[in-house]
Amino acid sequence: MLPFYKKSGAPFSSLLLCVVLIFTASADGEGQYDPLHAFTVDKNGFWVFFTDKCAEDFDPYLFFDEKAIERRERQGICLYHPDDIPVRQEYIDSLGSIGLRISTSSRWLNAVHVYSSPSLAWSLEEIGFVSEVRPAVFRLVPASVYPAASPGINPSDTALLKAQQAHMQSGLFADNGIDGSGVRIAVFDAGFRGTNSHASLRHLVRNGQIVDTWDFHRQRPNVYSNSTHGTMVMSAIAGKSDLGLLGPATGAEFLLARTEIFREPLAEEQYWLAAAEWADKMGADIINSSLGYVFHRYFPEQMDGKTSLISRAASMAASRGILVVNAAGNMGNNDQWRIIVTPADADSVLSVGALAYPSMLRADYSSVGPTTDGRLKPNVTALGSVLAAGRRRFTTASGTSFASPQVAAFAACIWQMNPSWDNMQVFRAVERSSHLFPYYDYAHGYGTPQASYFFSDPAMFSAPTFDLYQQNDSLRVLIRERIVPYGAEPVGNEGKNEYLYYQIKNPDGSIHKYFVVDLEEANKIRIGTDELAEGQQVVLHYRGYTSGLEIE
Amino acid sequence: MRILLISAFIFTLLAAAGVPGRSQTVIISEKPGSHNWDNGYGMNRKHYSHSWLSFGFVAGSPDSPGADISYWRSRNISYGYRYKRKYSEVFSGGFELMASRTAFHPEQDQYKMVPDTVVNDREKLVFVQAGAGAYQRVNFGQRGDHIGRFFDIGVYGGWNFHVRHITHNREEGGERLRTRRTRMDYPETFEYGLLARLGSGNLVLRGTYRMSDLFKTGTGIPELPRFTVGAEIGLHPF
Repeated sequence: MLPFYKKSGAPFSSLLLCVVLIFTASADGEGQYDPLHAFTVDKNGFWVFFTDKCAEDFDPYLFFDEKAIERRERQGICLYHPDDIPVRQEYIDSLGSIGLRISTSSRWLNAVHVYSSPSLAWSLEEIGFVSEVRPAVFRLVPASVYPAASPGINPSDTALLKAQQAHMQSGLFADNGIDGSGVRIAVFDAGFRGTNSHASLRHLVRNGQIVDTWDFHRQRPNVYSNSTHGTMVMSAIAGKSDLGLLGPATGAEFLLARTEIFREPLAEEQYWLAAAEWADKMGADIINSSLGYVFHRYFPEQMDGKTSLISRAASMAASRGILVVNAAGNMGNNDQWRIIVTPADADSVLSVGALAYPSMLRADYSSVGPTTDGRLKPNVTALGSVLAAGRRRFTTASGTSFASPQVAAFAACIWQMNPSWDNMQVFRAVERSSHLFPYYDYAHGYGTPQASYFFSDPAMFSAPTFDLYQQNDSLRVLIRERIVPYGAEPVGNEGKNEYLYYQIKNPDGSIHKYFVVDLEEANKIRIGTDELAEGQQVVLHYRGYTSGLEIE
Repeated sequence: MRILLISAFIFTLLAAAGVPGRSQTVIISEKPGSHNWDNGYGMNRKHYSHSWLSFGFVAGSPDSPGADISYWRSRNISYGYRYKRKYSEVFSGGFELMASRTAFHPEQDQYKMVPDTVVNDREKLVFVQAGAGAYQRVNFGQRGDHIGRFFDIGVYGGWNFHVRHITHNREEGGERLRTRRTRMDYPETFEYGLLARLGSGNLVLRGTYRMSDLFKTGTGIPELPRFTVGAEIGLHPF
């Protein structure tokens, strides 16, 4: 609640004071919307862009962590990219000397984020080395819903944990000694209270696997406060319990960044950007980000992967060889939004939707695709409900926040298995390993990644499970013997559901309509073709096999 | 016929009992691109409406002596429903319907003249009002489909459909006496004034200035303070 009362006539003068203060703080440069600088607005935050950088003193071997150098060399990425040269310190010092509070500098943008009065901020454009000044603010929404405290692992949670372990077959990694070792994962979140003390994550501390931490809001290394959201996310990547692993990447290294001010509501975009640059410098191979920007700053029709700064920042991180894994968002049941949030809309971001338990179909809150420019999103899906580390004990939580880290952990494991791959090869391998691939839809992407893809003969996935033929005005699907190839579908549904996925594709490749049908015990189904246009194609997927037919 | 009826009955029973059948169920059916994002309604779309709740205090000085009030206890609570029409990224406007209750607690001192000169242990005048308002909004800063930060200025008017005067006194014998008067002849029936709001998302600071008098001319009752200031919560998504 806002403080507004003082005895006698003072309240009104307080109101007037507030009016004056906010008026003086809100010269906002309203006007033409500029996607390249879509990070506009707020009270005293401004981005100040500089004209140039100084490449002479830049030594990447001194600037970057050894791991970052290794990643760049392995992926053939230039070590002297102009974007990587730090902002000139004398420019930062100059701004500091005139009383500006500098919160963040971005070498990728060649800019600093400052807090200043608007009049002072705008006057900076007169300085020779300043190319532009822009106001800035953002709101972030962690992509989690319904967190519920639980005193420990109770019997009902055990079934959930089993599904969590089994639905991506992550046990196969452990059985083969794969635990993400050698892969460095940066986790951006609202806080990591309990990560350094919870029993399920103690091995990370004991083995020194938490390489570095930074709170980008408070500018201090301690991130173990404020929120347990990051702890829950961490356990979905690398947690251990008496009943088995909560996440498969128990051997990975971690960079923990607190980029959100509060658990649910506000944060500012510069923290995400600064954290991405920090992660790059510190040698992160993977960024897991369980958050996204929504209606506070954008309209759903702007989810095109290009409009928001954060999607550009994520794309820049990807261009530096980092695999960026982001939650698709929890706006799926919000009729005013529904689609993925940014930066999950960026082309090179692996966007992860959530599956409901036990149906193993899209959770109603999980944001759907496509992007507004028609690209497939989310890329893959994972279980959205997890058993996770709480502050001290275990907790259950739901949201795409918890689907994303499971995929990040999966990616870490396959990267360990294939260390010569670049980030996009890992990206594509995660998609290819998913249980629906090559089929996809905008609710499930390519489905749920399956570890067996990397341990089995891929040919077994292509064995036909149904026959498809056209008869008069309908398509007939005849289900073959119900043999479930191992890895053909997520096992969380305990084999009870018999899902047939099908879609009607337009001649240009876009999806006209898509469906999921529970076959129950049916062996034959009929799909009417009356309403289909010529050239449209019907594509079906059932238990690891995809086939299509063009309508004549 | 009888056999047919029995068969139909058995079939109905079986169906109701959920006997498994060989069927299929469409669980998901989606037509991508069929969603019209801009249907004209939304927090930062052409039309929007939402309810709100406010709580505030009476503020400012009385017009003339004898109308001092206890500011801490003189409060206003309002509930309303607001319509907003967006004209541009910066300007919008609209109207609202509201109900409010304002209680004035006159200071009980020797100068007291509202509504009379009798000094009581406690006393209040309560105005319950149904009203409407119109406002012009100026928004600050780029935003998505969100209310954002704004400044409103507008007018309001209302019908004081229920006014009551309540006193509390302790008699010499220790007995408590409470009086409650309604249908007095001195309050004005209608009220109008100016309003201003300064908000960010759901949280709003608001103030009103009453231009009309509360008491009829000729009654000799000095006018009570004309300002209210308070906070409002917009009952719409955060």
